[in-house]
Amino acid sequence: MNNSALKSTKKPNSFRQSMSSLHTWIGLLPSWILYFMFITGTAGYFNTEITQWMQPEIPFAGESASQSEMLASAEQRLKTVGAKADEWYIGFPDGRNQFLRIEWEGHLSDAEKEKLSDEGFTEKEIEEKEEALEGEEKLYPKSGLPIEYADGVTEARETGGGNKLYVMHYALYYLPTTFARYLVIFCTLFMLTALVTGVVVHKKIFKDFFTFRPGKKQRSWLDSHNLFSVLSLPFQFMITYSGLLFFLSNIMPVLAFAPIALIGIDLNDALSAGRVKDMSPKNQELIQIVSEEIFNQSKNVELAGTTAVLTPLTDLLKQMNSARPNKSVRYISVENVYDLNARVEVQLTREVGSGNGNHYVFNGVTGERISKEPVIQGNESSLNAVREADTVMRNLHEGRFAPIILRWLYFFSGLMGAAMIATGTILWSVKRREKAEKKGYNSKGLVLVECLNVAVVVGLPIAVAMYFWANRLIPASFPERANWEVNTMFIVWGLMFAHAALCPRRRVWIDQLWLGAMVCGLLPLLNFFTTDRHLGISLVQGDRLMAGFDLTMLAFGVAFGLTALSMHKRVSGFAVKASPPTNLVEGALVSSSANN
Amino acid sequence: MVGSSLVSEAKAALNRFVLFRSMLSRILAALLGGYLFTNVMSLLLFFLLVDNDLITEQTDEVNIAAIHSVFNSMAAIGLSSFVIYTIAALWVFHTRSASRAWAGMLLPSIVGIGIIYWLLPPAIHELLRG
Repeated sequence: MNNSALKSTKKPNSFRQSMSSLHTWIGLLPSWILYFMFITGTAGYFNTEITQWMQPEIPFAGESASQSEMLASAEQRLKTVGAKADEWYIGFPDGRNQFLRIEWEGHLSDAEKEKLSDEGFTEKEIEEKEEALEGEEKLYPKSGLPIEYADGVTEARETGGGNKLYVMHYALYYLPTTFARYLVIFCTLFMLTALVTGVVVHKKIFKDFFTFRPGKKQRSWLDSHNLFSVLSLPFQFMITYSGLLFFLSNIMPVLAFAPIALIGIDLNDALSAGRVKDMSPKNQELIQIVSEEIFNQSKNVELAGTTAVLTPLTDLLKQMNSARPNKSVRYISVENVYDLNARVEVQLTREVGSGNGNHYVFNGVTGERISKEPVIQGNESSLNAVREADTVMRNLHEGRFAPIILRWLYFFSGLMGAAMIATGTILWSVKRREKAEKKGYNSKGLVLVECLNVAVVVGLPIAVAMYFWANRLIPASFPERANWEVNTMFIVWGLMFAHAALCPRRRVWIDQLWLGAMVCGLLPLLNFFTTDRHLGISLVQGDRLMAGFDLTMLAFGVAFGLTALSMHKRVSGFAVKASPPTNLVEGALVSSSANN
Repeated sequence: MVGSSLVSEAKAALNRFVLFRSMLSRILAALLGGYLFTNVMSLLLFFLLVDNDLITEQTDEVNIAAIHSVFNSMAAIGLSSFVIYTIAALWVFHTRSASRAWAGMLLPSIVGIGIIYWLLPPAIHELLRG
């Protein structure tokens, strides 16, 4: 008996067999953190939409207008509010942002600062004066007027919004940055290995895909695990692999830094200085060239010191529209607004690739296009395509280019990833639970996994929904309210862990599923009582953002409710069956003991 | 009776220990050995891809073509490194024994380091010698 255990390490076992146990363990260990990353990251695909729901004071934008009309009103507005600024930004509304956004920023020259300090202003006061020169506004696309907040408030409530959820998926929360980063990296590497071993294990991957045996406990969990995995496999590979690419310099710093030495950068100086400003002049020059050549960043322009009149931005837009008729402009930014060296940058909508041709630079006074010198290509080879592939992978991960339908596809793929992880860990525990019941003993590891499974798989969505509840219930003037929104989320999550640990195993799933149904499903109702942006109004107005959020949460509520209901039936059915002997052997024992 | 059960228990404990030690060794081989293996193989790939003529040309002027060549090759090894790591980890858990796993990670790495040193431009050799 014992010898066979020893032999199994020496005897070559089949590849599939060794991969199967690797898949089991490498999948289980990081699963709860990965599930957290998938849920928060998936919510992150709608980060701006969630933020807008969490700031209901910001009104519905209403009708949109043509880009040239919007640009004209933005330019006019900037001339009044940003008269003393030297940098402008005009962001156009798109499927995700409903408003026309303007920003402006002014700087005091060294001479002006000196004059102020001679007049007796402290450094802090001078800084404040400089800060007073910057600002931002949201404008209605149609009228070009600044927005009016609901209920007479002057600013929207402070909130972490959807972005806080998005950041959590790679920085976690409460944890030190470096620790969190390496924890995430570790889990992601495990995920990649789990994906590859998972494919190896399932030799009949397509047959498995069409197999579903409901109501058969272990087999049903395996089948649903296969279903979610196979259905979204390309997405899962893409998202895991590209996620790792973002951390390459953290994971393998040698690969990121050693090659740089070959272009002449003094690594000792670069690493000890840290900031570009403090590096040797040679390094600074090289970094400047790299940022222009490789990362396509435009060179900063100096002030000429002579005032000049800015060319009408609408003319530049016309020029753009004739040059790229099928593209729309994402934003326009202006540097050195009232100077002879004024420069206008026009950025077109995002693409999945590097979008090198999406960035146009104009002379702000003459309106002429400043074309970039063609890049000297030493090796115009397939290796350039590799660099493009790298960019595409990163862009695919973030999905910023994705229009609304593709964005929903991202959302569902992310949810399927979460479901894949959840069904995998549940399968692990169901398998071992069946064995444990037969043997009649309870292992501590199994109980722990079962507890974590409920509290993470159902408890986390409840906690996220409570983040939204907290947003509506915490008063707008509450100190540090944005932090308390997140604290609420984690306090509730902690309660779910406590509940899973303390209550009887059969009940926790049903209890938490019903709770999930309630907190998600009742969120539109809470929105109805706390704001006037509820479904009754948003659906009539055609406010897709507000209505979309409410309806999505309602759908989650219904899904949780249906799952709870089916589980309720199964458990009560189980209870009825359990009262007579459950199987033949047991039945025989019962009858024989009765005879005695 | 009692003696034999003690002996068999001790044997079982020994087996468990051997099994645990070989498992731990494999895990370390995958994490650390695989890490070294990945870094060495990726750097080796880098030197095979990068345009050596451009890099060995030591001019005072900034060589933009060389910068492009370096960054293109860097992207290539960045994309392939995780694939190399994953395959290495799978092999470590599949191969017959933990010692084979370690050998499979370390020997190619040592050879790889030698080849990389041989491929390095002379200027870097001088730098390494101090």
